[in-house]
Amino acid sequence: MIMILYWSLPMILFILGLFCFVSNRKHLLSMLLSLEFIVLILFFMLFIYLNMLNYESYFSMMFLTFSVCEGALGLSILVSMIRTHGNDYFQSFNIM
Amino acid sequence: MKYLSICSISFVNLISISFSCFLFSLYFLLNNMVYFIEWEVVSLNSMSIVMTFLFDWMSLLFMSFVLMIASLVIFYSKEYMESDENINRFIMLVLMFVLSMMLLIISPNLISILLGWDGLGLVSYCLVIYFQNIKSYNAGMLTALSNRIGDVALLLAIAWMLNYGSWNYIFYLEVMQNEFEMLLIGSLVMLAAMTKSAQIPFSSWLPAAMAAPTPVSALVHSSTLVTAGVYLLIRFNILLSFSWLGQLLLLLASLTMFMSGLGANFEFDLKKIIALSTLSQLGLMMSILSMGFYKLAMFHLLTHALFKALLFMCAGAIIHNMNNSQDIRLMGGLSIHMPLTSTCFNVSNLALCGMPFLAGFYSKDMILEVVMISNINMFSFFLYFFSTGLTVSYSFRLVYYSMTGDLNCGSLNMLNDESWVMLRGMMGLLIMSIIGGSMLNWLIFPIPYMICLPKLMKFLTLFVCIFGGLFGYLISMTNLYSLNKSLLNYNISVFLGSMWFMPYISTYGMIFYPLNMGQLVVKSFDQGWSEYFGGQHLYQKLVNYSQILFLMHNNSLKIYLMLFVFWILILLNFLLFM
Repeated sequence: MIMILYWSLPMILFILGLFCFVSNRKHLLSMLLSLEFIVLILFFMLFIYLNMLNYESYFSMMFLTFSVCEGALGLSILVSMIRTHGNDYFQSFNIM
Repeated sequence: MKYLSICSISFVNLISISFSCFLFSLYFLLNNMVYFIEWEVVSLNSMSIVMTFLFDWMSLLFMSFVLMIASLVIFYSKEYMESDENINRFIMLVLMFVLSMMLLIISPNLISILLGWDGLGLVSYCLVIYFQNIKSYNAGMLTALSNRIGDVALLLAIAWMLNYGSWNYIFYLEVMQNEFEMLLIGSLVMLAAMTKSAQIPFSSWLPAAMAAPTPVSALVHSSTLVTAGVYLLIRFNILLSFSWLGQLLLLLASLTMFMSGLGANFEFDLKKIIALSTLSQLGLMMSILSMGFYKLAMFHLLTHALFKALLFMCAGAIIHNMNNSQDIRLMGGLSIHMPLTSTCFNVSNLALCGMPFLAGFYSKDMILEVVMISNINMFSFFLYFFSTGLTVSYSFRLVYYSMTGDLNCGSLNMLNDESWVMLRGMMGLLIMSIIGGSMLNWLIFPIPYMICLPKLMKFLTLFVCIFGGLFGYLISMTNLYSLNKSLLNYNISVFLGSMWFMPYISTYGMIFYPLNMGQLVVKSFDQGWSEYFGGQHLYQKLVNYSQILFLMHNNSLKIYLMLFVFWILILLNFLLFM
């Protein structure tokens, strides 16, 4: 029972994050932000999970590194898209 | 090619057949002979459907006159229709008309007469719509549909004739004279004859049919087609004489005579005046026929055919010279500009009026005197003599408008009297309409009618004619009556001048409610609900669905993703709580 309560908060947060991701569809920046939010929830879930596996928190560093790389990659796409097409509307991805 | 045109060939053929028919009719008349030829088509149980040809002096004489007029009219059309592109079609139509007329004249059988009867209806429709315009189409439709009533009546008569096992009506007329079925057949045949001869409920088609070319009017609408009904009733005369059919026909025919005589006094279209005068003469024939004097009707039919065809041919020559205008108010002084045509015109007009020793005199005067010595009521007597006066009145009105005074036509117009082909055609009929009456009088009546009248009654016809002529001439002189009297009595002159409203009744009156209903159906079904639920609705649905489909084509990846996520959530919901 306590385990359900233990997992339910991050699950609800994850679903909210997904909802936030799929409902923001105009600007690429806001999508990247909500994606970042999902990454944070995942980090949170990973942290709880690793706490159950002998507190192996070091593994979460690897996750953080990759997520930062992803974030940087997304932002660089954002910047180059604004420089070439003048906006960051997600809808205009289909013209690329 | 000048002598080998279709007109010349047909002229020579028709006139030679006409001449031989005339000689045969003299032979048959002299020896009192009748030839009766039968060809059995099919025999079913006890009924035999046969094609019957009856040759007696009456049919042969009528055939010879029809053929002679047809030949002269075809000769005349050579110049009248000279610049027409389809003159060959025209002449062929006229020839087919003559053929159907021949078949009608020689068949005393209700089934085989249909061949000629329906042929006449069809070909006359084709001839009326020969000039292809809306007015001709309307006139043709009115003509065809009025005649269709008569065709239906004939078909019904055939159905009733089945009782007797044969359709050779001439054998049954005397024997079955008092049977109810025979009376029924007689009334149906009378209805058919009344439509063909344009008697009163069906009169409106005859003036409308003047949309046809003038040679057609001369042949079809004066001498042959319209007399087909009279001829049929001459064959059926035994049924008419001693029953209520004759009394009804006498009333309707003399009213037709009166109505058209009045109408012609108000008309300004040259051809329509002549058409109305034809109608009036048809009424005269029908009414004398309904009193039982079939020989007199036949006599007047033949003489009338001669001078009326001539009158129409003169009218055609005048119309040609007036730049195709038919309005008599634009004519005037034609006796100076076109002396020979005017001579023919006046001779035929005087023959129509019954001027002594011209063709019309012998038949018309005899008819009127026979009417006077017959047992007849006051009303019919009044109609006979008033209509005679009206005939002279409109003839003199026509003479006043077209022959005297000054030319009222446009100034850029050349009048000439040198259309020799037309004039030659007219000359033939001119001679016939001078000598035709006395010749036929000698031929048809070997024993003269005994007519015994007091002096005043004997002179009544002459007096009525002179008074009618003076009246018609003087009342047309607008300098005498500078005030237009017919405008003062507008309602009554419109009523009398439009044939007692018959053209309106038989066109708008018949078709008003069907047309209204048709409009309602077109508006509410064809252009209304069926359009709404059919084409327009289908189109709207397709547009809507396509718009939804186009939303899918918008490539909104995030919307698909959103739908996918929600779908997963719903599935999860089921997974967790079921």
